[in-house]
Amino acid sequence: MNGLHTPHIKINRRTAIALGATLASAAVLYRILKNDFSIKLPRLLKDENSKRGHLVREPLNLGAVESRTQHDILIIGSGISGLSTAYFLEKQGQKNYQILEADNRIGGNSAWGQNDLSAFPLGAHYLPIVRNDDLELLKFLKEIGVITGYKDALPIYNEEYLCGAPHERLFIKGRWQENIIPQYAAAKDELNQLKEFLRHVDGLRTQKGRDGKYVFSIPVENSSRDPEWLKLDQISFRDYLNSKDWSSPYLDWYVDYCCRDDFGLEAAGTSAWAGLHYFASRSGVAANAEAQSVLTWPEGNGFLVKSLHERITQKVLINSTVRRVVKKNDGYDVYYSDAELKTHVIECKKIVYAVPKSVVRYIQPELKFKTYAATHPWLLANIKIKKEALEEKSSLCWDNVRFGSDSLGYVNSCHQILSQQSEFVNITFYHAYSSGESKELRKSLAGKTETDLYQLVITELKKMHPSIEGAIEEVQFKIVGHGMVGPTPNYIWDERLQNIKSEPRDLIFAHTERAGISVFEEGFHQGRAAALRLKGV
Amino acid sequence: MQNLYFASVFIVATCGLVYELVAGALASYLLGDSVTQFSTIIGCYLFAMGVGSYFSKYVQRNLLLFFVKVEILIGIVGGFSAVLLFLVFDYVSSFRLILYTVVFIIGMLVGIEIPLIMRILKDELEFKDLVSKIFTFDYIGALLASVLFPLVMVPHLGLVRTALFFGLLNVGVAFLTLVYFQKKMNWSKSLLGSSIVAFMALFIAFIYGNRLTEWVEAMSYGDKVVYSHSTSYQKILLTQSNNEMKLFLNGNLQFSSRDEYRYHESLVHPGLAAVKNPKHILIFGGGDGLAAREILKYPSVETITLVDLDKKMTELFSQNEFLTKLNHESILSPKLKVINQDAFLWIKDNPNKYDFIVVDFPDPTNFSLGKLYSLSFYRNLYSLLTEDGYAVVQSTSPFVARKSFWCINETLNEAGFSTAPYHSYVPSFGEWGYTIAGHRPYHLPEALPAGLRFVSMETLPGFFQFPADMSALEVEPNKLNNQNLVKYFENEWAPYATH
Repeated sequence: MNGLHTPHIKINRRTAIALGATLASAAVLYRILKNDFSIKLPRLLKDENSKRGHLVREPLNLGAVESRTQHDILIIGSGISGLSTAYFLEKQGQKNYQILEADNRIGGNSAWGQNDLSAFPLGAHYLPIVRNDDLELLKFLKEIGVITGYKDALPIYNEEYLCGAPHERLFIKGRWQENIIPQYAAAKDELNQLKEFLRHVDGLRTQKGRDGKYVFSIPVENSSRDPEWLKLDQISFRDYLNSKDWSSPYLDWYVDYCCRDDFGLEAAGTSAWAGLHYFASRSGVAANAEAQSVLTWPEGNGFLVKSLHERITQKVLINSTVRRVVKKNDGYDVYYSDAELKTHVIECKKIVYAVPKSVVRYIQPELKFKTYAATHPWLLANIKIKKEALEEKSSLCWDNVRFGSDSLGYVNSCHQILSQQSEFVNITFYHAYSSGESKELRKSLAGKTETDLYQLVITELKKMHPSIEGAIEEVQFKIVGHGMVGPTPNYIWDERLQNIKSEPRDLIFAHTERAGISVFEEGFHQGRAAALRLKGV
Repeated sequence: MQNLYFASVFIVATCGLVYELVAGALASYLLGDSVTQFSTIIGCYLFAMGVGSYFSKYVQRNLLLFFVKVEILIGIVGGFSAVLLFLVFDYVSSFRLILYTVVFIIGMLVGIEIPLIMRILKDELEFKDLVSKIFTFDYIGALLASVLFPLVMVPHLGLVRTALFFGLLNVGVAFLTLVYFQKKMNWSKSLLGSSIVAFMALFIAFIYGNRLTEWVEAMSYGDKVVYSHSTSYQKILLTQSNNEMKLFLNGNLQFSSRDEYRYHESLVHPGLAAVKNPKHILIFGGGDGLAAREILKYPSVETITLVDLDKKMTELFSQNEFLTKLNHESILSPKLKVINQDAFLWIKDNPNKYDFIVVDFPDPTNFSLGKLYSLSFYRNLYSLLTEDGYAVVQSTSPFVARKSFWCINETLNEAGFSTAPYHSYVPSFGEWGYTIAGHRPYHLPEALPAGLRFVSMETLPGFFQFPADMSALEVEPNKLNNQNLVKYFENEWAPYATH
């Protein structure tokens, strides 16, 4: 015996075998048990309808026609612009129209899905309380019960549709803070810069140009044409911020986040005018909600889609891809393929293109446009998950974002549901592919399997919730190949205007690319303007 | 080789003390009075060690083999001790007998260990070295256990898994001894096999230990748990001690059978007795049927509609013998109709009107429950109430959560109600608050039903008087888009949080 040496064990063959066998059986046992009750891959579903959309690019035999019908007006596309066109046509007493939709559901970028738990958005998911000078939209919201009345000339919004508390949280430096404007552990300079920026954009809300109009208005068309302000459209939002010496990492990320969220672009790729418009144009005042409040529903803006669709008599034909439009003396023959790829013809007097011009060029190849608005792909994932997995450190909010992330976080689709919480919630995860070449991105996204996509989403979510995986029950992916229009520099006040000018006068276009900003309000006004032009048809 | 023995002494000592601590902590959890539990368990354990040491002299041959067997036994008995004690607690009347038996067995086995090891090593070391080394390791192991147990093991593993973990260590020592001394020992394969089986059993239990740990949580209510059920909405838990029954929902006390009549008389009679000829009554929440019991004291009542989310609640309170005695079988009354539906969804769809409405929801502890105290809910409530009727809303404690209490009042006013806030003293809850709400202002009743034990015509006016420490405050109403109430409530109850 010589003191306190560490025990050294000699291992012979028998020992090794016995030890090995024990470890191996322990490992097997552990695997079996683990698979039994924890990490299992959830049910993965992928909603992809790009094939139907891409049919427009393929040649079509115009001979074999299944049916022929007549309508005064044909509306192509059932997004907000197309449905609003029909809504206003009905107000004018015009009911002889038809709406065609290539997708298997209505709504375009405001479509929604449904599972056994609740509805959930498949795109746009909120509407800010409306500007008080937007009388048409206020009227519509009153009609559909989103506004319940007025008090001292201010709209009273339906409490059930105003986004409920708690609104938003940001995961920053390992903890959750209230609000997504990053503030936690910020240096004094950072905070000052954020405050300065917010004060600046707040001031712009009431800023008018020399023509007496608001500099940043909705619809965009109502904005001031003062060249002093319009020239902001020629530079990027990032350059604008740099010119003000605003370059704190907190503000940088926040501004990038907002641009990606609203335009699918980085601040460096967004026009400064558009960037400021995002912050300064939402100036609605309500009798019963704070400024900057938003309205939201479990199905997102699908609620507004439904409300429009309920109010029109001619329901949308889904799975109907328009292939060709042939101009005749007294109108048009519109060829479309139904779900079985059979060809039908609608003879109509007028056509409303409520789709982007990048689609129109395939339908009517003789039409040429100067430029096409940039769109970027988006990845959406609706995740059915145990609520407790999202509430380790703070209550689940409507909007949940991670500081520094290049994803957009997730929205709780069950947030507005009034009944008591169930064990599960639906959350919708968003990622805008803002950088890199869009076409390549779209291709690489389309080629990804459900498991690849799951890895993409889960990697991001785990950064906020490390032990999230076992809690997920189902994931439904949706790839949006062509997301909303991105207001790159010079788009809104140059290319867009030229594009509108180049539209043939006999055709009617109604799409948010004609506004440059893809929001509900713009689509609604696009539809209204289109219907006005159709008066008397 | 000696070092291996000393390592086992060290592990054995650590494990031994841990089992003792587990038993002590567990007994304090389940039986209360930790001083008594720890003293008696330590006493029993040390005495058992002495007994074990004494009987070690009767082991004559194959010391090493016997040591291995003892290790495996300690691993099994000690490892499963916490599981076993938790499992039997609910089902046996003589829990203490089992507790001390288990402690005694472990103590005795641990008591055999040290003398055995000393005898095994007696030829290899001088006696003074042997004694000094063995006891040094023994006491270091004890120190380690006493530090690890409260700081690391219990917070991270819980009692059940801590015991299982050390059981694994004991069996591990047995296994290593077997493989290391195989030549010296002439052991049978079946012993190796049983050590592996024991290891596996402990391991499986360890993996599933979390579920058992939930049990531990349930035990922290102090009294004997007689019913526990988790639905997708809430966890219902019923405890019993000395003829007193308590109901907990998600860990919050809902009532104690000792003084619940104070709460339910206060909730129902001030409002209902003031309604002339009440016929149709509505109860939100209140699946325990206790408010319904009070309401059935009014002969004019024709129907009671009870809307409670949780079917398990209304089932439990219409079946359990003790509980139906408590609520006078009110849920089984032919006048009463149970609707198991979400209150908010139901209120939006219901066209009927009621003369008296009891709103008895759990406190607004989360944003989901906060919706049931919102302006939006109260607007719906307003249209459900007849012109001459009243509603009463359970409004949390005006003493502890003064802002919350007045926030409920403010929200009811905003929804158009005339309100009459009041309070009463319920020993289990403390000073508790209620709010009467109607289309017209409240007036005191002219008479109360006979046979009440708490509310009387003499004391009733005092309910509506608020001393300075509970009087009205300036607060914002609770709306879905601000959930002010949940924020007030969280701040005010935070210093009192126990669960």
